[in-house]
Amino acid sequence: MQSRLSRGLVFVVLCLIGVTTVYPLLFMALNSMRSTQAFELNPFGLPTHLSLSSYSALFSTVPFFQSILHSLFVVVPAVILATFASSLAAFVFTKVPIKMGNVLFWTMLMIMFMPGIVVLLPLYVEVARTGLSNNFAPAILIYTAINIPYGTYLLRSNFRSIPDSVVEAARVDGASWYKIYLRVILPIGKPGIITVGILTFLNIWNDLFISLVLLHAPNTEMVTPTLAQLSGKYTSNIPVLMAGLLLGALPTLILYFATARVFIRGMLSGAVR
Amino acid sequence: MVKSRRRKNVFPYVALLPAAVLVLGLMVLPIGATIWHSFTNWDGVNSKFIGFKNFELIFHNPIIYSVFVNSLIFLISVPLILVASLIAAVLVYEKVLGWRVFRFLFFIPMVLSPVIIGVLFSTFFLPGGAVDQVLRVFGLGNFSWLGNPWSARVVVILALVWASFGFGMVVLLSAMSTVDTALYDAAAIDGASWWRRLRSITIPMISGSLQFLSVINVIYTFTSLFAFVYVITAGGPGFSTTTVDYYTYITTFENGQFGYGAALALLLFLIVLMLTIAQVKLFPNREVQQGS
Amino acid sequence: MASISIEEVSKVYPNGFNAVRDLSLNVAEGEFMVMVGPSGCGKTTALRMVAGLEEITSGTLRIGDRVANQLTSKERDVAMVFQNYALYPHMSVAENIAFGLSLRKTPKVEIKQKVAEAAEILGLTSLLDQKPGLLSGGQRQRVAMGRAIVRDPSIFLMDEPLSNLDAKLRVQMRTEVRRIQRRIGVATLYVTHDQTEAMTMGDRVAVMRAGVLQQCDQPQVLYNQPANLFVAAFIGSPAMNLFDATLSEDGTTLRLGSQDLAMGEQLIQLRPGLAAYRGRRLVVGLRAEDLPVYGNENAAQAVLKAHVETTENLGSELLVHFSIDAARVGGENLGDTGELEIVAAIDIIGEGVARVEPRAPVRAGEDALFAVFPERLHFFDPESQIAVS
Ligand SMILES: Nc1ncnc2c1ncn2[C@@H]1O[C@H](COP(=O)(O)OP(=O)(O)O)[C@@H](O)[C@H]1O
Ligand SMILES: [Mg+2]
Repeated sequence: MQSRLSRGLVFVVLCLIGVTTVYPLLFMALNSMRSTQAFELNPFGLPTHLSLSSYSALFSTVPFFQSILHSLFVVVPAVILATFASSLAAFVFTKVPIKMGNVLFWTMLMIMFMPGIVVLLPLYVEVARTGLSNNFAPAILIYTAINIPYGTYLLRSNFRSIPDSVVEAARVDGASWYKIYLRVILPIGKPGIITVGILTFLNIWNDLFISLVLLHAPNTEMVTPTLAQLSGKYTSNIPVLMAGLLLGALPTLILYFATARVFIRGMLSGAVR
Repeated sequence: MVKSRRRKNVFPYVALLPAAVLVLGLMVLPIGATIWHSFTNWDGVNSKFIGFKNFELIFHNPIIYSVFVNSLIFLISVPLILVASLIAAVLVYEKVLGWRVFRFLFFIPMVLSPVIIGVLFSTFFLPGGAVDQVLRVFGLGNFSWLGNPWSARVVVILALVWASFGFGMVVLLSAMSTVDTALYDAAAIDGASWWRRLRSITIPMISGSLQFLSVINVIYTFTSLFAFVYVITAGGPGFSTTTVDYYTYITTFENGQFGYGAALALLLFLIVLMLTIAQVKLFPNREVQQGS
Repeated sequence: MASISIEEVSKVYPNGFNAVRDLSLNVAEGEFMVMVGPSGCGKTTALRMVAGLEEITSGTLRIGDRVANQLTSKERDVAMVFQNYALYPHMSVAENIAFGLSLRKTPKVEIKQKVAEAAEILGLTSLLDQKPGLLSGGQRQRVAMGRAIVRDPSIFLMDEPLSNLDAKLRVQMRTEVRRIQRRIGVATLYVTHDQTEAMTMGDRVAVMRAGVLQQCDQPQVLYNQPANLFVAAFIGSPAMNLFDATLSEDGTTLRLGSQDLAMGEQLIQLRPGLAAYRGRRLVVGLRAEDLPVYGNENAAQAVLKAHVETTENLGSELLVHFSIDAARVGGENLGDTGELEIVAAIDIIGEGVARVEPRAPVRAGEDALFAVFPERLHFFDPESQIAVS
């Protein structure tokens, strides 16, 4: 496709797709700053004057700020734990010769394809029975566990691209397995590990199912269930809803914008499959 | 011969411990429990073994059939996602002005929660919402998109495609980057048109990734539409957008029929398993293996 | 510093493949031992067993006077240079070299000094802050050497360390590697598939084939007294000419195709073992340089007449490619790892090479006469392939 015309055409189509991915963000941002009446007159209008009333309405009707904190409180430890456990497991599966390594790995992969509800159903009952519902600890651990197989799978293909001979050189240099993990695998695999960490963050932050089931009391509710409730309460008040959506998306958007270079490179390196 | 002591290398076992304990305790055991309870009338407290009664009930429940058909209907999203991903990937791969920016932007839906995407789409399609207002210009307004079974499904499918094409694009781009560019040069010298190169080189070379995407998205459609359905239609109108996973959620967590829910969940797993096997068998992986 | 002693060591891989069979080999302190053989013959496997990267299936490995079978690489105190160098991509040259020392909790000052010293020896001083990704092949090779020597290891292992370099640099590095090894004076086991490299570098050379040690000796001995057909064909360039021949009943004449070469009584006197081959087939070997053009300076009892196919003038010498009507014993098949029937690989027309004086009156397309000296011939049993002496 060499001609100027056809390249121009490609550019235009790309712009159109780009508009569909950016416009919803703008839609949220712009309408969250308008009044309900203005929105109803024209959903495409621009804010005439900066009105933050939607935001104050949001904070006064649902404990929105707390729900963000709850989400962070669950997601951050789960991401760290899951990424750490996955990287260790992936290291063993790729570089340490052990018996049954492959069997263990394939078992993990099978589990990965289980629908979440198969796993969650008895866990929910057990958590309720032991009086731990609306408690962060089980939610953190369950999120961690559910993200380990995928993380291990991704990091395994990532660590495979580290030559075995580099690990062997380290062994000959006198490094223990633990030192090899710490000083060879972690630094070389860093981009991949960061990518997997971001993916895990997105997975957990954006999940509705587990948080809805395990943390439903107002004093533990995470941000996605809060947003889902909000849409029920505020279908008539779009600007407040948009304020909520934007704030709920902000942490992941910031994470993405801040790490886009490493993240996109990691995703493109073929690590995702 | 001096027999030297053989010290066991414990590192691999210690290193596997965190993953193993969590996966065993919080995944494998629960899966076992679900299998067991699918043969009981568990209500969360009491459970009694009732054999295949749950499965019998499921097969005699007319709603199940319509719910299953709904999930099948939503499979329409899979080819749409594949086409959208392919278009995005192929166009970005042309590396026209600003292609990195486009790649960056196309990722954005992937970063957003299905809840946010779902709420946004339902907002757009509300009576008097953005889409309605546009249609009014053409004299077509006042249509209740979410009040009509087929249009409600269309909204869910649109949301799903929009949410998923970014990931598909990445997978395809990453596959395309491994295609030897000399192939394109050779084809260009042979006088192959752009379409021809797409059809004869690009698509065959990335067919493995297309298959992977298809498998992943079929699984996703059956097991993970919960959030979309929950916020866009809540399964309605009637049961017209209720998917298998959403229905399982309702019976289990809202109605407290845990034994019955367990049987449904297992059935869901079996369906997914069969669909995956069918796809792998139907489309043998033709991807040309390159390099080592 | 320590010696390496390998006693009847075997390796069977989990898939059942027997890669090394009953290998016995000693590398003395300060000795440079080269293990050579065609690709796939088990050299790397043997080396990795010594390094502690691969479990030893049976046999005993001693490093110094310790049995090392069950020791970790660290405890064996080995250093190794890998074929692809295996440098740590995230560390600078200095950090690469220092890594082994820092793991041993060597004081920082000492590390710095030792790294500087190693860099000095290898000419890497100006590159210490670079990442390996930016270095040339030769520089990477030096860094890999530096990483190995800086630790003052007990033993030194190298797996085809020069095979990724271009031809000129490879020749240059041979002397360089030997210079460094002499300087640190450590028992070294060096693996290569290149027999020239083996012959020019090794104090002794161990020739391997299909997991079995064929012969281990000084390069001159391997060249002049190959223990079997494989060593004869593998060592030397151009390869030894090997022909199917028959010894006469009286033991004085050798029949090569349609020609009878008169050897006289001295043949069996020189090689008493030949007595058993009277009237039997055997394989005769002639080195290219042992076939001078027949003439006044090279008067000999026996003369071989051959048809000259082509000549290659190398300036200092002339390579003459000739053919005779005797069956040639195929050397090219010797590269395979499997057990092979060498004598089965027989051509109808036997080709050979002679290395003669550059002004010798030899022309392509014509016949030429070569002098054959009984004392320079090699003989092998066609079945067992073992040298007859
Ligand atoms: N891990 C392994 N499992 C099975 N067979 C192997 C393994 N590694 C090497 N081999 C086989 O052992 C033989 C010797 O290999 P190697 O020691 O690498 O040979 P060399 O270094 O002499 O080329 C080869 O035939 C190879 O295929
Ligand atoms: Mg090798």
